[in-house]
Amino acid sequence: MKRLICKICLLLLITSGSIFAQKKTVYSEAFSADKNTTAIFNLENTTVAIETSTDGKIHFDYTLEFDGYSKKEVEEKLQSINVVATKFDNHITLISNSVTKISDVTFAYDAPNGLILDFDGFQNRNDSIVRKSRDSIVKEIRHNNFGKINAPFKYFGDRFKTKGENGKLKNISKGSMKILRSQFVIKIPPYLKLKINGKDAQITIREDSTNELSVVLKRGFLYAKQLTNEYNIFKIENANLRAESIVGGSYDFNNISKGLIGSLQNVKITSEFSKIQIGELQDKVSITDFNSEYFFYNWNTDFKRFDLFSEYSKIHLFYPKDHDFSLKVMGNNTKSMYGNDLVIEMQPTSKGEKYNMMERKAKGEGHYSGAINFDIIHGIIYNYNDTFKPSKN
Amino acid sequence: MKQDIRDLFSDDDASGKQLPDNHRQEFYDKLKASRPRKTSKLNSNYLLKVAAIVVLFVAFTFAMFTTKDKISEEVVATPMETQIDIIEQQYLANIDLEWNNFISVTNDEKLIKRYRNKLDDLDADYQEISEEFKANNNNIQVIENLVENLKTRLQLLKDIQEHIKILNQKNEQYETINM
Repeated sequence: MKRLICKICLLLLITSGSIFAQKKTVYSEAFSADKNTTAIFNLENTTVAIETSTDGKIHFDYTLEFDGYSKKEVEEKLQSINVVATKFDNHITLISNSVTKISDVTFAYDAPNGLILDFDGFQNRNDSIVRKSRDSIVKEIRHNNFGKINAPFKYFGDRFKTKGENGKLKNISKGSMKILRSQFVIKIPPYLKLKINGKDAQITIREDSTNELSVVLKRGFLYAKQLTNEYNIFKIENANLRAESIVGGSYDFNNISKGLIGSLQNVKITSEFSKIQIGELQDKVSITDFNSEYFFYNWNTDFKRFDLFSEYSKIHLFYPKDHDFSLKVMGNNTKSMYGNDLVIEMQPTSKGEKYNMMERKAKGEGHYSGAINFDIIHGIIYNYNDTFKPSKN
Repeated sequence: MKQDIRDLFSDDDASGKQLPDNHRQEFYDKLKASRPRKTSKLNSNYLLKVAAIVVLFVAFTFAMFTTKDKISEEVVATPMETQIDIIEQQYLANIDLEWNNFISVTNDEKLIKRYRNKLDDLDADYQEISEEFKANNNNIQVIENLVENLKTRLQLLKDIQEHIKILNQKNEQYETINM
């Protein structure tokens, strides 16, 4: 009997959070759509999840869950959010913005004794560089459920402390926090032609998408499964990017600090000041870059041709493992590093002429997977391969 | 057949024998040996469990004290704006220093221009985020964006200097590398 009472108490304790939380519908609307329908979403300080609709309609469902907020505070928060969708001439426009940033989970803390930034929590880790498989990149992308913080309270606690009654630094208790959970799900039919303008927006495309997408994102993040459409145009600046697979389209990356892409196929990338890891390069990929750091981990059996045009770039090149390939590096003033010891200086020049700096011809044995072509100046190539060594010309 | 039982033992050999001096001790030893052996409660598993608990307790106590030490420094609660201001000043001073270092190690005007533009662009971003921070200074994401912006600027300058340093190192030269 006692055990039963204990279990009931425990259950009540666990579920009390949800019982006291107030769920509010911010916006709920559905619009019919056909193959000629176009849409534009203007998102600011908003977090959205895009899914595929099964009934051919476009659905907007935005709910907020308030935990620890007073009725007045809930009203104020709702007042600070503006969401409206309209349809005119088979074109749907969504405007969603908020005075303050709304994430999946947002914490607020009325600090009677002050909120103190624990700056150590913001420090970066330095991981060692090893070849990663495409699957492990995808796993990394899926970790945290596409960017959701698994333990948001711990995440907050690692970064903020408060002052205890004795004047010492103290962890913030969960009970003194106000928690806002946001869920804005937009369902679109697969044929919808969609443009998204995001600013401080967190966009997650939860399912494989074949929609024609035109996305401009400044700050925030874009997490996606497979994006397939040769007319896709993405311009992402000062944001994070994670995509399991990108097939077709042109992508412009500027200061993508944590870029993770499972695989690339038939894609044209222009980038600068970014750090991007690519699990597998498939066919017809070309990259034009200025001062980014790229990790090319794996190559498809038939990648056919890969072109890189770069300046001041840092390239981590993992060579194709199982099949024959050719490599040609053109340009000047580039260093080629083999492990920690061997550094090779390739064609330093002050005049800017380009030379054939490095070449590996196909061996003509087995399956030929493709040609890697680098046109690189002021670059550094880190070679990860122990199957062959460079020789003097 | 009747007989006096006292006569039965009159010529018995044993009646004349003397008991050894340590017969009591021998008796106790035999008695002890004949008792069923009790399995000791202090068997190896039990000892292992006790040892584990002791180790855990010591570790926990140690962790408690070290954690307490770590966070028991006297702190002065200042408004979040002031804390961010301090971080901002530190970063901006470092960014300024690294910028000067950067322009002293390269003479590539195109590179300097692109960096200047990028840093200006990030600074404009910072001003926008700062406005948001003024409106909501306890939002973790806004604070993170502010710190991230400063970190990015500093890291870009450090990375490009490292890049130039590697490019400027004198190593073996090759016209073309054939592999």
